Amino acid sequence: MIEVKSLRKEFKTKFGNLVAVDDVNFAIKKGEIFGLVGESGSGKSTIGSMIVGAYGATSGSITFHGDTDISKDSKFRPHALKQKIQLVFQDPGGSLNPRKTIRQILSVPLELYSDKKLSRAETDALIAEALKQVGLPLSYMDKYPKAIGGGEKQLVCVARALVANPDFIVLDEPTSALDVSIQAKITNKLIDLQQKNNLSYLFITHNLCLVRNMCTRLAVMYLGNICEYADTAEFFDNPRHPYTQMLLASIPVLSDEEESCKPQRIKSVGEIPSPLNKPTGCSFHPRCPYKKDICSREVPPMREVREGHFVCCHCWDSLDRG
Amino acid sequence: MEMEEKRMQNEFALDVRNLSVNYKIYEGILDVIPGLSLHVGKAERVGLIGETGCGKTTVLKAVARVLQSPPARIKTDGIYVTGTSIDGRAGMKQVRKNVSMIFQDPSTSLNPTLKIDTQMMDILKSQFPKHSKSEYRQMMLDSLAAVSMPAPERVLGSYPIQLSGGMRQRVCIAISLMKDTELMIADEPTTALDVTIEEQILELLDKLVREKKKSLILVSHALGAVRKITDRVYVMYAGNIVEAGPTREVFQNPKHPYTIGLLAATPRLTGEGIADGIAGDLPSYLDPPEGCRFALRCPQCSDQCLQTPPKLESVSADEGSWQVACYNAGKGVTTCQA
Amino acid sequence: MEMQQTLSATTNPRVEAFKKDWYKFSRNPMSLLGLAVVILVIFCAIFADVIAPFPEDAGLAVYMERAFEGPSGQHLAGTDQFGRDVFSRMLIGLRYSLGIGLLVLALSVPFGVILGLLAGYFKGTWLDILIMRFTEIFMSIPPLILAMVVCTIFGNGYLFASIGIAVAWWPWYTRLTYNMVTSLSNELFIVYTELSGVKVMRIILREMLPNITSSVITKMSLDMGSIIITASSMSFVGLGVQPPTPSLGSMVSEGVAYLPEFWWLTIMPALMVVLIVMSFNLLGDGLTDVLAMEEK
Repeated sequence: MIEVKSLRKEFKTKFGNLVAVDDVNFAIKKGEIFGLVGESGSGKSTIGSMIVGAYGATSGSITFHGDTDISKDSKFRPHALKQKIQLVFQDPGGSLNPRKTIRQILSVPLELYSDKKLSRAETDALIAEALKQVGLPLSYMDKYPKAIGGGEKQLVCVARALVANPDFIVLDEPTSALDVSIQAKITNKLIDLQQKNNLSYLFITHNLCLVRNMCTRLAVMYLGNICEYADTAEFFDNPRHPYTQMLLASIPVLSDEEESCKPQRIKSVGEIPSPLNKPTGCSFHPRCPYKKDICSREVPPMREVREGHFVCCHCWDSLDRG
Repeated sequence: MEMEEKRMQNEFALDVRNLSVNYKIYEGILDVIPGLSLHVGKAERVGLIGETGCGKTTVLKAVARVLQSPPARIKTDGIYVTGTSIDGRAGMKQVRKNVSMIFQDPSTSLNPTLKIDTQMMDILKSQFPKHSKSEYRQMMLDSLAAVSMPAPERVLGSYPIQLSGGMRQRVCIAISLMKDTELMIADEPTTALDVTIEEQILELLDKLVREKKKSLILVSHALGAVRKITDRVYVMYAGNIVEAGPTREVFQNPKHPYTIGLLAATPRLTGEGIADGIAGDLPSYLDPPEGCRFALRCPQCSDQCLQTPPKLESVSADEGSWQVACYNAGKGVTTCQA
Repeated sequence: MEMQQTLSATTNPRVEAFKKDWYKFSRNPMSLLGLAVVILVIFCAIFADVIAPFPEDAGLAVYMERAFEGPSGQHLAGTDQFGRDVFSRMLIGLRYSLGIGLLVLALSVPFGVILGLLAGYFKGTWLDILIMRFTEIFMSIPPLILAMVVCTIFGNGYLFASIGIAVAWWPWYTRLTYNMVTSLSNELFIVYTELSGVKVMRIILREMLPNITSSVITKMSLDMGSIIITASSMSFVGLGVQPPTPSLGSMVSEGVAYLPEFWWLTIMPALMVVLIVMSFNLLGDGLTDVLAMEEK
């Protein structure tokens, strides 16, 4: 569906070039939910933005459906392509125009992407269908975003993506601004819609527990690089990269069973360096308890440690599951 | 009876009795907190959990005497910090002396235009007047060392913006430690931080509170953080405490339907899927349900629930250590894997 | 999914929102006072001919027998050097002052807002630089001087005075709009429309404009007072409405010669200016409060 090859993105800042994403490779299959996990500054949202075309890549390629190159800015994309790739932002409050009713908001993609001019009744029918799909009452059509709850706003955002009739949706932390009970509702809705409409998702998040419960495969990013990339089950059974292990060990969990799933030996230390000032070699080496001399000198290559399980670490074979 | 009461007050670092808060707005009266009591023992670490809009911040603000009134209308049978009422002007002093606070967003609780050392100095001067400059500096370095700050000398000469989120939160904790207060209030201290940094800050808080034998009240919607560093937990829903008990046990085997739903909705690392959350929404504070405020979302609601609000009642063998405000607690749904 | 919130299920959301805004506005008695006076002033301006006890005094009229009479029951604000009723002249002058205010706003606001929208949306491009530098040049000249220049070049009179003030006034609307649009550009709902390929004019007019109108209206209310002051200052130096037609400013300036004995000739119209300006400012403050609370 989407294939990303040696993708790189630099931003020019006052303090020099910021390499937000560096040599990233991954592929998202049709009908899968792909998780992209990382902390702040890891470049996960930058990748999402590039896929929807908020800005072009510095180098490397992103291809859609195998042949269409979408590594450039969205200005270079035809409408038909924009329609197929939709997005949902983290902050549902900010992504809906406060001065428009839900009906007006949802009719924007319809006006943009439909081949012929739709009548008012046709538009209404399509909007009603989308609201029904996300499970919102039809009476919401004439409400303003201010009058509905945060979770419901996010559902409106999902409905807005759905009315465009997309193949692929980028979900940029869609639930991290919401409460747990609402998060659960929306996550389940998203999974449900993905299966019903045969969609593919790129799910960007910092919450590994969510990924465990909804994604088929995932990649973990640290300072612009992917450090581990695997099937979900394989990943959680057998995390290999020291950063991944640290991330897993840091999750504050709710039960002893979960406690025993976490890597036991590793402890979180150090700070995330600024992306402007990336360490040489492996970018994780200053925080890594297993570092060797080579780690500060050479960037580790991506190795396949088991089928479909890639790790980017010099010392992967000397590590157990932590 | 009076003696009894006094004894009780002195044992508690914080004792809130029957606090009620409401607001008058255009549509009517927002009955945010109908009547809430909670206490924090000496050297006890207590969590207060609840979702957005449940009133947990309002409770904190009332305790720290920063709730603006009006518009808020506060009524209480007394809020006591280390046995002294916080009412009136003397109470304000009591709060200032005995309560320290850590906030969610460390970038807004530090003044962006002043260097860290200047900010810390101001507080030191008010706390410990008449020391020499080098003595103050030593105190600052000590307090930064206490929060395991890397490169404390450099941090002192920096502006808040030059520090990372985690470092800023460490500075805030260091500042709150400079006052030797009995009670520490932490309002979502790790919500704005990354997971690996959150872990470090929680460990630090845990260590400091244990070492200095402080009382801690941690307010958060992050259940995991609360489980990690508290002994006892209060669960709030729509302005009421619905469940109170020992943290680990409550998390393992919640009794109130709301707590059950909340825990079930949280995705787990063990990965058994996500329950469907809790149906419905928080009721409007304008016109809250007459009986139990959770009744309309509750899977086991009965007639009684709709008529009179349930009181907190003990569900544990030892009187009062685990309380639930539900008529049907323990009947029907009992495990969190709903 | 059943909804427990039965709030406001009955009425139109717009009506409900308006009622709520009105409640917030009316909680501040000063804003209510401002609104009341503004309504009264507008009413007086419209029906000045009817209300004024001596409407013919607005023009050329001489009644030497009752010149320089102090305020009394018959002449509420006294009479001037020609025996004309000051109160009647004030009412007619009020009409011209308000008229200038409205005319200036009608000319400057659309122009300023459109330029601000364009410059803000195309921030960083040559269009932004062109518009904003142009705006800054106009901002750097005091409005009174700019208006005087316009009147000197094109001729004196009511219309040209208004145009003159408008020329000096629009840059402030450009600046306001520009700042609002640049911050709106970072809002996710704008980012979304850009990414999904909505046409530029549509984004500006349909998505951005509705979000800035309330601020612009508030500023208009606050500006009304300042424009009236400027217009009065201009007539004080002889620009704008020409004698014998009265304007509040020229009445003050003509009266100065007769101070301090015949104080009512200056003080009464001056008080009128103060009253109008204050009431528009109070109204503007009230609107600002409503807006500020809306954001919460």
